[in-house]
Amino acid sequence: MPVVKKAIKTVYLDTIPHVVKPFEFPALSSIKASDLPNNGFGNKNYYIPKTKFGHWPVYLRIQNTKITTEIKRLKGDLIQFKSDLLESVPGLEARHISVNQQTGNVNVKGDLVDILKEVFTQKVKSEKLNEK
Amino acid sequence: MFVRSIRRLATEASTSTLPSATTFNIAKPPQYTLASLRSFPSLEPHSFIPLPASFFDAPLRRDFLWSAVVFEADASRVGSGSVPTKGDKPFSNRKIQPQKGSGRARVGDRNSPIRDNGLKAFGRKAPVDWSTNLPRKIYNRAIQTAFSQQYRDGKLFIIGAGEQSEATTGKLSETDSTIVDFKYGYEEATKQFVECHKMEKLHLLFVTDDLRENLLNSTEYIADKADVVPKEALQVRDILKANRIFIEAPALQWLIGKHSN
Repeated sequence: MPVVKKAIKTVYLDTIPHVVKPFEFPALSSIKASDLPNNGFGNKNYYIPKTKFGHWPVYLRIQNTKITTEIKRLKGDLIQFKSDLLESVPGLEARHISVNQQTGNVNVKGDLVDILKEVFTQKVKSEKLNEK
Repeated sequence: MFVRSIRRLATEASTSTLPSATTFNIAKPPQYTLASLRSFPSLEPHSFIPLPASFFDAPLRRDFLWSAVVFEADASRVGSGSVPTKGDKPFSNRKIQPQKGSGRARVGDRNSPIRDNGLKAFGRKAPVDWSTNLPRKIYNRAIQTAFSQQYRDGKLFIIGAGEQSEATTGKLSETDSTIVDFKYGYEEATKQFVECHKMEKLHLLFVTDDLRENLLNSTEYIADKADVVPKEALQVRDILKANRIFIEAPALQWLIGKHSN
């Protein structure tokens, strides 16, 4: 059998143009009162959203010799979160935790990334809350 | 007796077991917020719609707004400023004085930028591109913050036809419509609209889904007080500048789809 050699051509395909997908308003009947503002959120409670890949938002931050652990994108009462964290992690002191309520960032002195991730996995009982 | 002290890294974490008594006070943040759907130009509310809380209940972050407004202002610069340089040769090429014998320093022609003649050594030449970069997610947060602030202040009016509303069941008033447009393109329509809702001194923003000719023609006489913007051209500074925003529901849906992170 003779081998048929085919020339391979370079084919340029047009990229798919970006089309904005409009937001669909959900039905009014599907909305519960607890989904709306003034449901008590932010009053002695808070929320730790996982990343889109399902990880806890805990990051190691290295600024030359200054090493801190950063928890990002927190929502709600961060002062309460700080006191809960102090209770949960032994050896942690209040002066080692700095809280930025406006941006939702919490910085902890030292490399606590693995410990905090473990604490979050243990302490955040209602896993369903953390699903997007 | 010696007490042996063990030096540890300041950043070393303690590795003791965790007490398991307390749990975190986790609660679910609000997902939606409600807004009225209205008809135009009466602004009569006839239905509620749920809006995403991330877009309309975002906290006021002035840093995002500042970044976005600077980004837009930079991008809108024409960059026509042009500075005369040596290369423009505004003067003669004649040597001002002989090379030797004058007792003064050596000089060439009058086109040198070190002479007092208004020329710059490295002047910018038009067109200058002053546009800057801003991460898309930061710009999206700015749009969300601006909309949230206007919504909280009660300055956002959403025009559209909702489910089971008067608009869809055919009970809508004859003079009303579910799009941001007047029946006729005369000044009088805008005059009555502004007077009826007591908005004489306010800056109005109309965000439309499509081209609305009657609205454009009718608002032309107060062009400095009223902006008519199609949804694609809406900017953060338009939203912030307005005292009242009238936006069509499909345009809003498109904007939410585009500027959600």
